[in-house]
Amino acid sequence: MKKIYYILSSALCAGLLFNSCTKEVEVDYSNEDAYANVTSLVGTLRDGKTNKVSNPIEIRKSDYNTSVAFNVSRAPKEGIDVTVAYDAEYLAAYNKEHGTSFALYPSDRVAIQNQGKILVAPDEKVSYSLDLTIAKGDTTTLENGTTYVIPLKASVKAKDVSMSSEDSHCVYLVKNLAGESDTFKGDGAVKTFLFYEANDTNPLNTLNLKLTSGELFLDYIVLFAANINYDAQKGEVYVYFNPNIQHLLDNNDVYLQPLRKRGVKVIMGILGNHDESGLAQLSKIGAQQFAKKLADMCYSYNLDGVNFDDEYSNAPDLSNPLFSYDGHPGARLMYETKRAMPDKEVTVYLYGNMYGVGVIDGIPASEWIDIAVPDYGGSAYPVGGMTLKDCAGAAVQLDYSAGSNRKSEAQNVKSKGYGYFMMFAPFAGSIYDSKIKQQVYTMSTISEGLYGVGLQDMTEFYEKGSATPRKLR
Amino acid sequence: MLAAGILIFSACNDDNNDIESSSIELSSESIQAGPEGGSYDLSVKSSGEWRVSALCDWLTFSSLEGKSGDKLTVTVAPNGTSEVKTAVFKVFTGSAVKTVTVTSAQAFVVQLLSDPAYKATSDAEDVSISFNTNVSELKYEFSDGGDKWITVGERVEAFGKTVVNFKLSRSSEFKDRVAKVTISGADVTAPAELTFTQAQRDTAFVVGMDKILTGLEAWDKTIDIRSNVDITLNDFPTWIENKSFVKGTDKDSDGLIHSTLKVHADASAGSRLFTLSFLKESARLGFFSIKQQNPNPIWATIPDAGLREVLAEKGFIIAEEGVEKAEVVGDGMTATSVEIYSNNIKSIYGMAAFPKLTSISVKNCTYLTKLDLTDCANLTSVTVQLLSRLEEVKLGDNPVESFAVGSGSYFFSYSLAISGSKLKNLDVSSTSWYVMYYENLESIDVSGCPAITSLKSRRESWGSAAKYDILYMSKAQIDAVAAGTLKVDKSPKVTITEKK
Repeated sequence: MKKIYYILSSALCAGLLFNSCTKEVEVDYSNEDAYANVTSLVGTLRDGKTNKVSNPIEIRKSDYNTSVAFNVSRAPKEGIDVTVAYDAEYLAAYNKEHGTSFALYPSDRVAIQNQGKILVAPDEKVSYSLDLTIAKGDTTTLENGTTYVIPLKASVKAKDVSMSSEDSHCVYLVKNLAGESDTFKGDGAVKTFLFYEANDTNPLNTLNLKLTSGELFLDYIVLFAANINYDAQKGEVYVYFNPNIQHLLDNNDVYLQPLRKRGVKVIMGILGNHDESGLAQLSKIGAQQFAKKLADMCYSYNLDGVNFDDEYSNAPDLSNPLFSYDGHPGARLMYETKRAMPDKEVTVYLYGNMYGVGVIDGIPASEWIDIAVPDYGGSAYPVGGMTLKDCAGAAVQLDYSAGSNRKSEAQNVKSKGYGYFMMFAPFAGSIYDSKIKQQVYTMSTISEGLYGVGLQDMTEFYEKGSATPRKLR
Repeated sequence: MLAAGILIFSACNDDNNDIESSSIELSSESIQAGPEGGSYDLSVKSSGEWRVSALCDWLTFSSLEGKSGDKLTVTVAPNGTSEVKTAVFKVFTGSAVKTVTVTSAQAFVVQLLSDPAYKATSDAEDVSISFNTNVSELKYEFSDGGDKWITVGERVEAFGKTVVNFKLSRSSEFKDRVAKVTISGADVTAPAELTFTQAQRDTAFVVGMDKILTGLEAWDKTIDIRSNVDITLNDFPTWIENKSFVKGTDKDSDGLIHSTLKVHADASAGSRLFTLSFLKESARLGFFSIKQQNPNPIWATIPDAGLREVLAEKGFIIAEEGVEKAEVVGDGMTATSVEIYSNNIKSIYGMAAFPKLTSISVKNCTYLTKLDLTDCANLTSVTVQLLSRLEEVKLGDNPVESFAVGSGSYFFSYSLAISGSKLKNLDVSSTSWYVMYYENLESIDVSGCPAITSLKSRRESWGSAAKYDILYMSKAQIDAVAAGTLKVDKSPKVTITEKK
């Protein structure tokens, strides 16, 4: 405090001298505390990812990995030994300070790299990070939905480092959601792949479709659909979101990410839209341009991939360099899309001219198609190194099939070794409660065929545009 | 004033003089390790005791502290990855710090991502194998003569992987064949190994004779069969008795099982043929002809196997598989009409062998492009239906006066020429809606029909004309149209053009 006072007063005086030639500057000396950290050495323990001392996290059925680092207000000019450890004693102080009554997340589920030891070098303001692993939650020793605390404390040997009790602690507020069901239905289990008519249906209903054994029924949902369109003025192909799709994307955290947190893969359907920019009539340049836009969409909105449905496009002007029928354009688009987003999924509906080519640029389709789903009544077939595990063995239109029993069909899909079962458009069109239940019944019979158990009765229903369910009659 | 301030500040920090004046020197501030790793010595000169600040799981240090003149040994673990790794650590005393950058060179790896054991059928096949590799030129070594049937195709880099296409040639071997491919490259310490197993070519055949061909007398024969799978036989006709079929159980060194079939044939009044088939489940692996031959046969040459099959089924001929020369028998000698209905026929040549034919109907031969009946001298009636790739009809001088392509016809062919010297009424019209969507036909040529007096050529569906718009006629026909002696019904878009 004293040292900075001298520096600042001297420097400010010098500044005043220079400025006095032009105008007067009014200096407020009343709050010197603001400059205290310039000279004193204040240490804090922070999360390495968020750089925060208080970190709310959700933990489910897998471990949570992050890191912690020790921060100092300036380069310390000498080494500082720091030890990071779980500090159970801090809980009482924390609860008192915040008026909470959290319990501790068990210390045996917290692992800190390097026995928690850090040596801060003299020229560092942020130490290297120690890996921190927080083991997954459960519902036997922990209460589901309850928030627990992990208090980590940094202990410092150096006498010049000052830390308040709050600065020396990095706290994780761990919400145990291990009791929330997810989509895992066993190793090698057939996965469900469902298209929602997004113009009619709220994807949150995914959370209401559960097996009697508790797991979520739907593994993949497709938002049907965004469109491929052509902007003649800009001379480019683009992704069009109709107002309903746009609403879901704008409210991503409400409608989509809650599903992804539970293990549901959220896929954006891409459909032709009555202009010349069809999915299976792009040139290589056009495919690369459109693939980039699809990748931007998936990364921007945190989606898991795309599904291509080659319908409703017009014949293109083949003199436009973006359009072509040559070189297997449908396959080319899938290839380029996978290149643009290799960590996302490229899926295709076997319709139009999208599917059937096994190799593009020497690369087999198994590298650029993740899932192929058939038209109603059919089975998808593998091409280019794919296997039946990459294919849906059946496709059911739920609106037409409401109330029908599809158990044997599902059993057939499972016994033949297919990887997926496709369904289309539940709760769409002119829907009413009894029809909803009929469709759930049909899905329940599919569940029986695939997993040996049916679905729980669906008691709540999310209307389009609402994040609050209503009771089903 | 500022300098004064700093002086004042400095004057107040006598305790830190040692820190401020500290110094440290290292013999090197960088370490470059190869993929094999290694130990590297650094000498440290410092104004005081030094320490090491580091956290890296592939670096270990001989000591984390020391005094001036001490040696610091840094051990870099081997880098088994295909990527260069870098890390930094710091050595310091007081406020003096030296940062050392360590680079661990990547290993040259060939890591197989696909299943290391690939099982192929006996047919030719392209197999895409994925690797993780940073080796620019891969080398391939084949065991067990694998280079005779495995070739290395294109290498492509995509999706962070290397994909190499291996081409397996078709196997004619009686046994499975196996070859290991070792994939390596310069400085690769752990080559990848890939094993291809290609299935045997399932086979069954007769040794010692290529067929049984006898006279009409009764006989007993022994047939020596070799196969590399368990086979069954097709059903025998009543005139051949299966006396015994003894199947071997063990394979010889050539991979084949020996089986023996003893058969008896009764005496016959005429030629008859049985094709013995060797079956693996429902698949036919081979066949063998057994024939009692009339000593005075009438032969027909019918090149198209599909046509021979149809005529044999109708009892017109006896035909051995793969042999164009067939014997005309039974109905083939006396029939006046025949209907040819098959998707497997590409040529209709050979129908002149049936002397009594006056009427022929050809249907659903969708790969037939040319209907040449010029040598069928007695034909008076020719009927066709759904010959969608038809390009030419030649009736020659046969007494066929009327011919129609059918009202439900549609053509993928682009042109159609019809000729016949006796033809009077020609109907090439269609009302099928297919003509609007699938038909490619652009022109019809009737210039080879000098006797026609009526031509119907309207190809329309629901009032809309198909693509066809050129009608080729001879000069005489065009004159006849003008004179009203040749009546032509056509769509307005169709123009009559003289055939030069």
